[in-house]
Parts: sequence; C-alpha cells; structure tokens
Amino acid sequence: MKPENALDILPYQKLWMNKMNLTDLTITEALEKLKSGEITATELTKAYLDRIEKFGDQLNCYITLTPERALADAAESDKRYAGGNPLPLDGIPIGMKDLFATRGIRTTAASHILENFTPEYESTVSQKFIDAGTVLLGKTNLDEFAMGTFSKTSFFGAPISPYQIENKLTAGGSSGGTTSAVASGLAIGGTGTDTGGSIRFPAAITGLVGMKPTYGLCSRWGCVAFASSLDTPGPIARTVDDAALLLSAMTGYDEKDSTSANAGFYVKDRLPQIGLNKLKIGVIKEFDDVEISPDMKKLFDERIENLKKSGAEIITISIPNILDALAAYYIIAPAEASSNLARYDGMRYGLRVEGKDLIDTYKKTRAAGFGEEVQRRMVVGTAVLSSESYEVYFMQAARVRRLIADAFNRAFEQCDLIVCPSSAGTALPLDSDLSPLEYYALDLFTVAMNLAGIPACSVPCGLAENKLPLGMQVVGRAFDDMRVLQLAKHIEEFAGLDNKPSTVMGK
Amino acid sequence: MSFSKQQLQKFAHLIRIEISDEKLEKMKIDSVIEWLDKLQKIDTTGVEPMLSPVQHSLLRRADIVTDKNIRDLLLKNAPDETGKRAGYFAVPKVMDE
Repeated sequence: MKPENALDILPYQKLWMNKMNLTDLTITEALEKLKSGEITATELTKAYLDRIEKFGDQLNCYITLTPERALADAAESDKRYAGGNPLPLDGIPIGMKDLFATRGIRTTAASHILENFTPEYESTVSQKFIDAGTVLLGKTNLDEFAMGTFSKTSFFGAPISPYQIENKLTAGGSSGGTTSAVASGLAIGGTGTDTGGSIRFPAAITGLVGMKPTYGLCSRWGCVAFASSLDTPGPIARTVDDAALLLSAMTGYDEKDSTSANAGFYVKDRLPQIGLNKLKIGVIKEFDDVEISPDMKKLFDERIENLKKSGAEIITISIPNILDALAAYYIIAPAEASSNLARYDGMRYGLRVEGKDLIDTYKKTRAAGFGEEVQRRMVVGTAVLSSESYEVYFMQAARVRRLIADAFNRAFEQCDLIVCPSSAGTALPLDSDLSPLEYYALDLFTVAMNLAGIPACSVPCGLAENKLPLGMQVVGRAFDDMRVLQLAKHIEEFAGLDNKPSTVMGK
Repeated sequence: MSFSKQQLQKFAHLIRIEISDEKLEKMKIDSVIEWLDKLQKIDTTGVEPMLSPVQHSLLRRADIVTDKNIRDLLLKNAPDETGKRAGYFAVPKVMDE
C-alpha cells in the first residue's frame, strides 16, 4: 500500500516506530527524535519501564525503581518540547547509582545500615540531571559503599551482566548496577562513581563507555563518601558521545564541595572531532610486565596499530611506581573510609541495634549494619592509621602517591595522552571464589589515575574469542577531559563494537 | 608489620564494630597488611606526601547561617520514634549514675 500524500505517512511511521527498539537508541539519536517530534519522552520512558518490567528482576540492576517519578518527569519534558524550549537532556531516561542522595527517594549505598534512609536533600550531581531535564528511572545497584569490583558486596544481591546471561557473569563493580542497566537497555545511560576503577572496570567488561573525569570536575556533595580524596562521580553510557553529553550536565563548581574545581566541560550534540595526525600517544612500559589475557593483548595491539595508521605517534613512557599504586590505594582508600564511615552511629539516621549501653549500641549497630568487606576495609584502614603504623603505612602510601602523580606529569611532557588496558580479561562468573587480594588485583590498571586525580575513560576495544567485550583506557592530564573523550571516540570507531541492547540480550 | 589478635580487636573496638575472633581471622586482615608491606622497599626520602589531588586553594565562604528551621527534616530519619515525636534525637544514656 502506497501512501497518497505526506500526511498519510505518519501512521506508518508510528507503526514502524513501535516495531523498532526505542531502547536501542543512543542519547544522541533519542535527542534528535525527541526534538523532531518523531518520539515523545513519555513513549521513550514507557519503553524503558516495559523493558525493566521484563528483565529487571533477572538482572537485579536497580535497588529502587521510580516509575511514577519517571512518568512525571517525562510528562514535564514533553510539555517543554511542545513549548519549544527543551532542556539539554530533556526526556532522557537514566539510572542513578544509589550512592547519590535523592530527595524523597530511598538512598541506600547498597548497605543494610542505610536500607531505609530517605534523604531530605538532593546531591549536586542528581540535581544537575534534574536541571538538564532527564527522567529518573531508579537507583542502581552497587557494591556496599562502593567497596568492591563485582557488586556482590551489595546488601541487595549482585546485579549481573546481560552478556551470556545464562552464565551469570559479573557486571563489574562498584557501579555494576548502572553498567548492567545500560548494557541491557534498562537505562539509556547513567551515573557511576570511581574511587579506584568503579566506573571504568564495570564499563569495560560490559561493552560500555565509562568516564572517570578529573577529580573536582564533578561535585561530590550529597554523594555517600567512601574515600574523599579519590571519589569521582562520572557517566556511563553506550557511546563516547553519550558519555560526553551526560558529563556536560554533571560538571561545574559547587560551593558545597570545597574540592570541586572552577572548571566545566561542555559539548553540544556531539564531541568535536580531533585529528590523530601528530597526536603523541604514550604506552606505559611497566604494564608490559603485567600478565593479561591474549585477547586483551591482541585487541589492544590492534587498536594501537589503527592509531598509528591514522597518523598518531606512539611512544613508550614510564610511570616507575605504577605497579605499586595498588598497595598505596589499598592503604589510602581504607584509611579514608574508616574515618568517613564513622558517621553511621545509629543515632541520627540509619539502622540502630540496641545494646546494653551507648558503646554497645554503636558496636551492635555497626556489626549488623556493615557487610564483611566494609568491615575488613575499616579494620585495615584503622590499622594503617594507628600510631604505630601511621608513618610506615599511611604516610609512605601518600609519598608513593606523589611519586606516581609526578611521574604522570613528566610523562605528559612527552605525550598528549596515554592508553592502557582497562582490565586483564573479560567478565568472570559472579560466583568466582576469589580471595580479598585477588579481588583487589582487578583494580591494577585503574587505581593509579585516582591517586593522581587525572581523567581516564574506558572505551570498548572489541570482543574477545569468548564473545565478551573488553575495554581500554585513554588517560589525560588534569582537566584534559575533552581530549580524553575525543581520542576515546576514535578507538570506539576502530573497534566498532555493536553494543545495542537488542544485540546483547535480545528484544 | 603484623598485628596480634589483641591489636586487631583494639582496632575493631576503636571503630566500634563488634567482631568475633573467628570472624576477624576469616577476614584475613594479616594477608592484606602483609601485602601492603611491599611499599616499604620504595625509597621516598624527601618526597612530600600527597593527601589530595586538589591543586587550587580551597575557597572560603562567609561564616553565615545557610539553613534554619529544618528540625523536622533532620529528624525524619531518626531511628528512635519516641524522641522523634518529642522533637529530638533520643540516644542511650551517656552518663554514669
């Protein structure tokens, strides 16, 4: 049947739209269709809510769903589109890591101690997403207080990866709820926080883009604190352009966070292209000695070859103590955590378990409220801060941190950007039985950038033999977030990974 | 450095968490600490410790009240219902008889 005139096409278009997967759209594509009126925010939001209905329980990627809020947000967006004055991310349905305080919506940090905590305030980052017009689908799962790499320290059970779902693979951690949701099409994009790799590692093993911005670019206010000198909020998305759009909404100086920087990041629609010609890209010599899977090595080398062929100059650089970053991190992060988590005392909010006196009440409350990994890190943190070991452990780690940050600064005198793997291999089964140290070792490629406070983006670099995705990182000097993403975009194009949710886990 | 069971219990006491000896042992704190010892071999003579990546000087603001009359909001998540209804946080007795 042939349409007689232009108007007759509309019903057909609608029919075709229903057949296409709205949840396969990237943020860039969705914004175009929302602006042109081809789809509405309500249609898009409903498509996500339907898919959450279908797959949400299986993936366990949300701790709290907010469907009513989502539909109300979408209705507001549609009004703004109709009025011709939409906001930058109007109608974009996102998942918010359940570490960001959201007013009137339970915020748990995946901990029993905050299981019933409903903040009366809004974190700066989530407020900025409200101001940008996004639609909140829910609060995503994570490791308890963001401490972990498989998201299985969550009090609410672990989320899983949508890849080869029958194998129950980890979606990574600690931002594993967001990666599970975004990779499976249960959110178009979302937020994470990265203290030692918690955005980049889960993004890498779920075929997503995960950006840890420069420390201070995004405000930490209202984000449950783990290790304050390392914690970095950032976006997780399916494409580099999408990550750049989300990051644009998140940044800016915040008077409520004294460590937030007077700096911003902004792209309109999509990232401006950067030429690879004459770009000097460093490869970290010390990482050559690290055992990685043959797949990771092959894909990394292929992407380096692509960069070379396109005119980039590849040089070897040295970060002498980068392999010691892990131990320095596992001193500094637990030390800061043991102090940050002192506030959960069962007196003003959160769980309280009555004891025989005040001290006993504290002890019983915290024993019941914190899971084993959180307790382990707090004991370790207190040990390294104790008077007999403060100089030997904590201050020595802080000095090694300086050596690493200085080495990065020197490296950036020789090159513009640095690339390295995001992980040693593909996602492991959730029920892998690893020792604490084996879990910690998974952060090997990511922690140094947190110590130095510099931006790093994990971008898909291809599929391994076992058909699971792998990622590599682009690292830049402080506040060079734009070029980090611009180079990541080239790598994304070279890799050409099809990470559409319908490809990953079907319709 | 290695820590005795008594020292580990002291740390657990300092952070106000009741942990049994068996659980402390299962946590393998010692294997973690032992691994951290590898940092000792690095020569850091004369290196300034880095406690934060922030490079700007922290901005100050005027010392003025920025919120007020939010008692009920603050009390909303209080775990003790009786105190909450009376308008304060109720805590276990702190002073001895």
